[in-house]
Amino acid sequence: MNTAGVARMGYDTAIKIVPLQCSGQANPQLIMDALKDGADAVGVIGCCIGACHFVNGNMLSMHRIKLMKQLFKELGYSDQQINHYTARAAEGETAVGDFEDIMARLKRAEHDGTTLPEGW
Amino acid sequence: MTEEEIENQHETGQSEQSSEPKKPRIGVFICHCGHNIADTVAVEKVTEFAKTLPNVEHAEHYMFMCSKPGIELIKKAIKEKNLDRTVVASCSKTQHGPTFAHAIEEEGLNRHMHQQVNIREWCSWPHIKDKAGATEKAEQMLEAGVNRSRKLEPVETRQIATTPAALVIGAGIAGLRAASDLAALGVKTYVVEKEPTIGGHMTQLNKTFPTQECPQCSISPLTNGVANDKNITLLTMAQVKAVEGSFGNFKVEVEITPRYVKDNCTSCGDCSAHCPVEVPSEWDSGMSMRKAIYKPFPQAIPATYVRDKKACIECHACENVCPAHAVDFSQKRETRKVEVGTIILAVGYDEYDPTEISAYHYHQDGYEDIITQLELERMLVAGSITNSALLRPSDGKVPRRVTMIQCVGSRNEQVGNKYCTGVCCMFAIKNAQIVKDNYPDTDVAICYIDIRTPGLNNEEFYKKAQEKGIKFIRGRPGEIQRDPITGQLLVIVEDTLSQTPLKIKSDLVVLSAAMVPPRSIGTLGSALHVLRDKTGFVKEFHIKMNPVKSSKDGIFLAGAIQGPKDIPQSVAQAGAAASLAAAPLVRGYIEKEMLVPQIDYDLCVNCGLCISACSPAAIYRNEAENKIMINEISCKACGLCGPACPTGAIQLKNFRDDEISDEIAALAVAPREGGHVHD
Repeated sequence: MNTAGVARMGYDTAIKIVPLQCSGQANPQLIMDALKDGADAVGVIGCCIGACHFVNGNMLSMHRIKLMKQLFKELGYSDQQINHYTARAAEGETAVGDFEDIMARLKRAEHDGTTLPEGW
Repeated sequence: MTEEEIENQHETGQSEQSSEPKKPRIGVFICHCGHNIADTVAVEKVTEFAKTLPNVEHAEHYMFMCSKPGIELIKKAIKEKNLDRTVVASCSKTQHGPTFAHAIEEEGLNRHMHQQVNIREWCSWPHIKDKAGATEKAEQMLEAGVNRSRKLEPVETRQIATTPAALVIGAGIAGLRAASDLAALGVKTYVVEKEPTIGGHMTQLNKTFPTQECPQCSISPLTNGVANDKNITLLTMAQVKAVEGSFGNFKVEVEITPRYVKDNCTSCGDCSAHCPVEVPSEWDSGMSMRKAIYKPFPQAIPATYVRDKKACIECHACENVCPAHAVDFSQKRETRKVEVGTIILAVGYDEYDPTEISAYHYHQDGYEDIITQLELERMLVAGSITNSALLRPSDGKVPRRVTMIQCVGSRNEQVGNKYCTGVCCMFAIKNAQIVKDNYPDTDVAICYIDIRTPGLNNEEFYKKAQEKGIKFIRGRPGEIQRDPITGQLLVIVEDTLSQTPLKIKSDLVVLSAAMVPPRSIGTLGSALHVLRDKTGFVKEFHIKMNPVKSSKDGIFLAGAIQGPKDIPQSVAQAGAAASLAAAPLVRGYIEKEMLVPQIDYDLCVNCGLCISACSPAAIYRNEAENKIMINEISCKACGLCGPACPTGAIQLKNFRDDEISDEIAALAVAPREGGHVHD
């Protein structure tokens, strides 16, 4: 994300960034807090597979998000509001691409009418 | 942590949750960063907003917070307003987080009481076109930062004793230089080399540019020096298999393949003379043969012979004939555990194999006269298979026309690699001059895309080659053809400067093959847990400011493993690596910030899930008390333990769920709806 900023790559101001030590630190609790507090979609971005600074934190996060998606689906909601991405520190365009993907998936979910209801 | 300390922590945790005895006093500082932030984000508006937030006792904005006057403003505010924590909204945490942390430390505050909010890379720069949106977002980011700041706790920095030894993996020019420099600093150094000899690719070269010196002569003081240094333990035929521990205290498992020859070998060579088995010599790039029991080259260090178990037919002729009784077929593979404080990775490169470029027919039957530059070096070197004569491999005749092709495996979008190796122009020009000097009647042509000879003396070297009559043809050959009747090689290339298609008749074609990462780096890189980049070379910590540190603390890089480079660059980097690797050993300790998780034993159900989630295995169960405890020295502050815990008992200090939740609360609300969330 720093690389994207340095290169002045533009993206929507709707994207807000919360830095964590590792994507594996993204607790389902925090993801749900974000959605409850008003976020329309949540993306967890971690290092590429095999490149996790802490060995397998990114794998834990991927698996966690996968389970959460399943849960959302079973409850009848879209599974597109929570996503996991991988990016390399030096690739600003990957991060920006991920942001655009979050927005695109959200739009799809909104179009399908399966997003989480307001004030749930 | 002692039991007492844990109990105290637990108590403090409890009291903080039930009643806040001391209210936080936050100082907010917003940076213009010249035009970078202020042109997009309305910093005055953000400052006014900051003043409305609870616990913010001071808020101001300034042109350059990281400058001396900027730092003075922070210090002044801390003193005058009795602040106990700061929030600076400016650039990234990596860039100036430490600057401000250090500044508040000088005022007596713990450096972890500083919170950095990045309204530049994460706000003003990506949202240049949306000033209103950027300002709104900056306000939200600032609120998030202030929320986070409220619950920050001081973190102590502890000194941890280092193991006073270093490991150098790879004994090529970079590894040897690094080992030598480490030894000179008094550091006990282990050198692990997978080949039977030390010196690496440099010993295979005929001459080095731009002075045409003999590399064996240049490297000899170093190879001998390292072999005889009392501070250095040299392990050849050895590979690193596994690494445990962390910066300052690594435990390395080294696997040593047996030589089957004892150290009392006098290097007389009788064994080799009597050995009936001949196989191509890898060290000689396959240009000559060696025996199953052999010494790779006459000046090899160690001088002890080595038996190639795979090629050996076990006739025992060597064993019978050895006057020193040094041959020992019973030797076994050995595993050695070595304890070191820092590691230098210097495993070098491999020459690109042009076989995949089918149009160049490398190593195909009928095309024996197409060789690589390394094979050419092996032919021209003193004592070579041809006795230094330049001869065609097919018929042993002196070639009258030599054509060199540049960028083979480099600068290619289709095959090989996209990068420019950067060394091939110089070594092709070097070899072209050697051919021309010794065979003035031989035509030498170099087909190039660009000639890259930067640095002092190199442009002059290129000029000299042109003056010697070496032809430079600007074009990348599309293929090498072979006349079916005469067998003559034809290099098909367009001279793009004169826009003429050419068919260059060649007696010998030399391919300037790229430098690629060594085959072994896959498994070794994983064992060391260092990041590699797309090309396979090991990634440096920072492309500009730290090309010597790897992605892993305590492991440093030297030489071509960090990217193609020439000998002087490798030597320079090796010196830098030795210096960085020696520092914590000479000092005797590393400083570790005790950013560790805390366990609320009232919530802990002793399930041990955190132990499985912990990547550096820093959490363990104390059997005696049946209690989950933390090894603070191994802990990497990754926070993976938190989400694994079903009750939320284990929380990483300053990254607790409630703290991050506070940060999220300010960011997740939709802007322009008026609802800013206050704690």
